[in-house]
Amino acid sequence: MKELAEQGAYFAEESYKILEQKFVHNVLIRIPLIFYSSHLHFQQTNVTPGFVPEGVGGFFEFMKGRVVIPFNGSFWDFKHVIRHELVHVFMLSKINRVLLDHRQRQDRLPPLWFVEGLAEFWSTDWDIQAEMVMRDAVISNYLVPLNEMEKIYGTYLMYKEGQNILQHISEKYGREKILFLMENIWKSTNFEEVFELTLGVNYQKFDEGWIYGLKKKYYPLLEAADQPSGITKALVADGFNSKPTYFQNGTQREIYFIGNLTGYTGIYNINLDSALTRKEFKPTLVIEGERTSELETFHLFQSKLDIAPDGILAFVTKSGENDAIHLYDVINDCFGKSYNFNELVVIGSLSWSPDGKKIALTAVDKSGYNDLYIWDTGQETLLRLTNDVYDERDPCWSPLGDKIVFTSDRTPYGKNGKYNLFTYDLNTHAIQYLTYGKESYYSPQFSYDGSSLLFTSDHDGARNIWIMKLDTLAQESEMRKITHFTTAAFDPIWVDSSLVFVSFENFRFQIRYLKNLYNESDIPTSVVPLNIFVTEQKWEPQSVRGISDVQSSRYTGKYSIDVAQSQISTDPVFGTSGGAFLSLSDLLGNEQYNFLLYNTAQSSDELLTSFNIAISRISLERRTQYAYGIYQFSGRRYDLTDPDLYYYERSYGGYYALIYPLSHFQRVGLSTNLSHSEKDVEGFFSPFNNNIDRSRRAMFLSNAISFTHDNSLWGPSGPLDGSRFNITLAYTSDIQYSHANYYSMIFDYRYYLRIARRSAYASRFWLFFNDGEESRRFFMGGSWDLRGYQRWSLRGKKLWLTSHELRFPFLDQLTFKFPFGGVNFIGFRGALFIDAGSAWDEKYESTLGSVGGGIRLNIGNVFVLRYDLGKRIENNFKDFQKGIFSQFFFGWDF
Amino acid sequence: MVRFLISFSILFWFLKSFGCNPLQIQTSLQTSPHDWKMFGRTSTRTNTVTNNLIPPLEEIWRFETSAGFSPYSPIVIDSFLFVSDLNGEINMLNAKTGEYIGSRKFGSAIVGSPIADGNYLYVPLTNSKASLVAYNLRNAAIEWQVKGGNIESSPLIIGSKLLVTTLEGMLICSDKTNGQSIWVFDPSRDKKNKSIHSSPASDSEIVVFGSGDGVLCGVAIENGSLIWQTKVRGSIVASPSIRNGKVFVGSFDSTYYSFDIKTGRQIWAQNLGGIVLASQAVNEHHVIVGTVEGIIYCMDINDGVIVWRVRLGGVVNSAPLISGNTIFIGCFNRVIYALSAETGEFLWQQKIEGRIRSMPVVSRNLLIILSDDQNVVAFRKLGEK
Repeated sequence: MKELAEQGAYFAEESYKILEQKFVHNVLIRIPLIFYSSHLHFQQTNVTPGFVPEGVGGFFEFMKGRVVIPFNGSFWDFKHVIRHELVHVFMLSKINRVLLDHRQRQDRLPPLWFVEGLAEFWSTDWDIQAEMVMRDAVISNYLVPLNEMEKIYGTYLMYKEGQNILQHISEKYGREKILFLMENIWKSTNFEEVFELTLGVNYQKFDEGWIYGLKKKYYPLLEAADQPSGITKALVADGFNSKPTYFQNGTQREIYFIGNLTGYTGIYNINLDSALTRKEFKPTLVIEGERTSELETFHLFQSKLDIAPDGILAFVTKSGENDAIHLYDVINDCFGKSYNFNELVVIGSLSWSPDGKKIALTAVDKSGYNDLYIWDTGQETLLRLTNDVYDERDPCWSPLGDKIVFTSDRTPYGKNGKYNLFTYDLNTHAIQYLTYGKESYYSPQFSYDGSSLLFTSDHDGARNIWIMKLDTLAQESEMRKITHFTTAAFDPIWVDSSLVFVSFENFRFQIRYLKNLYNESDIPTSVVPLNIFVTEQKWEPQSVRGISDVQSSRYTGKYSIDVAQSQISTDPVFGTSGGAFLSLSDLLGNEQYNFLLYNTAQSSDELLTSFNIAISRISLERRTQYAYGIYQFSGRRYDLTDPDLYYYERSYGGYYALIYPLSHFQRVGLSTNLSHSEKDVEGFFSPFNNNIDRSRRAMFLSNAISFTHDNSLWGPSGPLDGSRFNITLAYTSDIQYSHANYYSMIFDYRYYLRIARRSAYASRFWLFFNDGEESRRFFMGGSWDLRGYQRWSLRGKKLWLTSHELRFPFLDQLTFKFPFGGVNFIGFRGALFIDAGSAWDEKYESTLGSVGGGIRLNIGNVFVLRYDLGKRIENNFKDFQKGIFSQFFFGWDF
Repeated sequence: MVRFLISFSILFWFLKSFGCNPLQIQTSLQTSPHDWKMFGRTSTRTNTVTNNLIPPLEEIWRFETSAGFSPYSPIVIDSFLFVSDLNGEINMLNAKTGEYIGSRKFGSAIVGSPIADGNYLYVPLTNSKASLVAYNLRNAAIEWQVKGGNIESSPLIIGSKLLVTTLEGMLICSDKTNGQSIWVFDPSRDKKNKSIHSSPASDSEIVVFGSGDGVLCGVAIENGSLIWQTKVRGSIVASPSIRNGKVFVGSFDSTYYSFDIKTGRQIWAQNLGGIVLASQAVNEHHVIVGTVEGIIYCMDINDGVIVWRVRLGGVVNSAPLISGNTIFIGCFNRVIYALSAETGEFLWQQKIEGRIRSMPVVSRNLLIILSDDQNVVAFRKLGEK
């Protein structure tokens, strides 16, 4: 890992020199770079709250300027991501500098398409993947103009369109215009105005030239190439699908693949003959993933599955701390063994040996390097075949059992991110070149007799499927092009004499079928001789060690402020209060300290007694996370009893809490709280319904234990699939004065049944229970729980609630266009609901409910606006109210 | 009443001492050869002074402003230093002591250096309603102001003619006494690329400037007619210099050029391997320029042969200054360098707190630089009083 860090540092220093010139700016403060040796560990970083999704390749955290990057085995990818994130660092620094120079607030950034587009444009060349996306967007007619870029906010398409826009600006308007776009940012808070001032054209005018140029460039491709849908049959057209594998199950021809059709990734299968003959055919879910810790995530697009001749499917998921290999018997439809490896962190693609006893695989170990291995399923031994800095992928075992073909960046072109095909001879352990060129080759697949090899290559500018014969003399070796698609083809497999593969079209990864592969092979669109003429030495990754002094030291947390806030507030009931909050954390986000101080004194003689202070420490470094703190709170309180009571309370004490995640989806928590409380009731109260003594002292000891489960899949306004569950048990007693003694239970269960891709039936059940002396009341009512009733208007020591809701898309887009501009709303969601519940102290009064419908609108993924209409059900669930209620509020669906 | 008068007097004295004084001179400016009345010091923009300020130098004063600076230089006339900033303010300081004398806000960013002529300052503005302002320093009043386009370059005065280039791609000639337009040169080229960041330079007959589409134009001062134009591969952002009948300018295509001022014919071109954003300094024999790679090149003015090159510690974004046999140049690594004009040898360097993105000036044996921590810093020869 230290070696990797030094190599990353080299890339960072190299990037700094380049970006300094591109930005005509330098960054004077040190930039913290945090590297992880695998994506799996990167996802668990504490630099940012929550889990980092699988698709994120790295990030720049704006608040403290931290750059966090995983290593995935490829030094080319590592270099690209480092430079990409450093572009963000430079851009933020430069824009802040410009705004500071003009005495303007440094609270402005260009729009995301520019931010990410520039990061891509200045960190990498226009590569095959970018070309694939843009070709598809233009030819399939879903290219989003600059004028409407918010429609694809945050998506990969936005990144690539942004990159292309910047490239167009550089070529057509001049390279200096990109600099001026940043240097002119002070001229307007509206970036479109800055754009127009700088380039001399507004977005609309720009779009005309840009889009026209793209059409001129890409439409002619259709003369000599095809879209996959034009000449092949779709087997699976929807969603994102990858890594198909074929199995002859008796007379049934089956294709198994990894797909994401609903939001959860899993393994699906299709009957090939049924798929070919029927007009509409849906794949069958074989193994559901991303719901349990055993099958936590599939690495969609990265990890290939394979089926042995006896029908044992081998696949990879994250399982517990690391990746694991699972075996599944597709004939008997049952799971076999699973293998976890202490030394391997991330596992890539798999390939069975012809006898079905061993598996060839690529995997990343703790040092971060991705190498080739063989796992013997019988002996349960792991044999490492390569052990170097090169990135090995896509192993394929030959039918004769003597070789493994794989792709690797170990040629001299590998330092520029090019992958070539190699064979590993299992007898001699020699590695031989199969290809040698400055293009890339992936996904090798042997024919049944081992005489030919299918693979993909970007030799001609787009990734297509090629074939080579392996039983020819070296000097006659050639590769013949099978497909000639405008976009791309991946993961080809032999299915008898036909071809099944994955294609990219209409921003979907579809599984397609090409009949009679040998016809295409006999009349290929292109033939390229394969001359293996090794001209250069293998490359070695460079390190910062050797070009500058390197000192390494053990990490010790250096703290800096996250939040520093002060506030004064005034309230007609509680008067004026003022205070401050300070939060600190260390560079890795593992340790946090929070300080809260405020005062609620209404007169000078209350000053000392009205101080509220809390200090806490939260530690997230280890799997068991804990927090502890001390506090003193004092001031006037409002207790929602009936009639309402005001009282003064001073409490001081400390707490300790533990959280232990059992898996990605489940955790247990423990907490204990000891506090001294002095309470004095003031104002009117009813002697017939007093919940609290007029003046009371207590030493509360509260202990709680909780269990939480959450594998929900979220849509735009709330969960659509999976389930969520929490049960908390607590016991509070006054260990000194015996004034209070109550137990609490919270039971919260939510289930989401997927009806269609964007629709779900959601149900919720609550049971909250407090019982004992001085037990507190729960509250209910309002848009977040029992709809139709005023917020928090229902109170009781016991409470139950059930909600049932149908969630569906209501209106995909609503656009208002005025002569002076327009506004666009995307993704209105609808809901039909019924709620029922009640709250009581000792005696159950009546059941209340409501029924109705509503609309939700997600605003920038920050919050959701909600509007409900309906009828309350009153009189112990017997009568509808007269009229209807309406409630407008904010908040996510339950 | 007495209390009111006392309070008012105290307040008035306080404001006078610590508040904003007007940008005003009490007596007419006395010009001298040490003056730096415009960017580049003269209309040929050669960025040279004859007096040789010999390093090492020591800092003698600094003044903190409230906003940042552009790559252009301050101007020095008589004993007054005028520093304009990107918040649209011009501060007038005593050049010898750095003492604040007065200031005025002009309402929008001042990118190009103003030009002083008599008791007037002609101030170019950008992103503003009035983009060219004639300010009377004696009266502390705006004499006239016109909207001619957004100006991010320095004006030029030839006789009674005031010449400015605009981001809209025009060269405008106005009467300096009243701002009335005499002629406008507006080349009818593709509008989107022809913005002009380059300040015009002139030999009194022909005015030369470069534009964003890589075109260098020579225009007759008399009537604004195009005499010649020539195109290079990259944008021209830097301001040209004129010496010995030749025009010198660098381009975004990393090439440095020399052209004949009468015909526009290219005399030589030298590939410098790095983008040229900044203007140059030109003396009798050499032209000195820096690139964004942080390399300073010295080339022979006759054939462009590289005489020497020196790598500094960071990006160079401002023009160098030749003071006798010494070159002064600032760099993004917060260092001001003094190099030998003959050999490029490092003679002296001083690190300050901010990046140096603006061109320095030498006037009356003072080196004055603008630092991007919003400070004006003055140096003089070490030990000199």
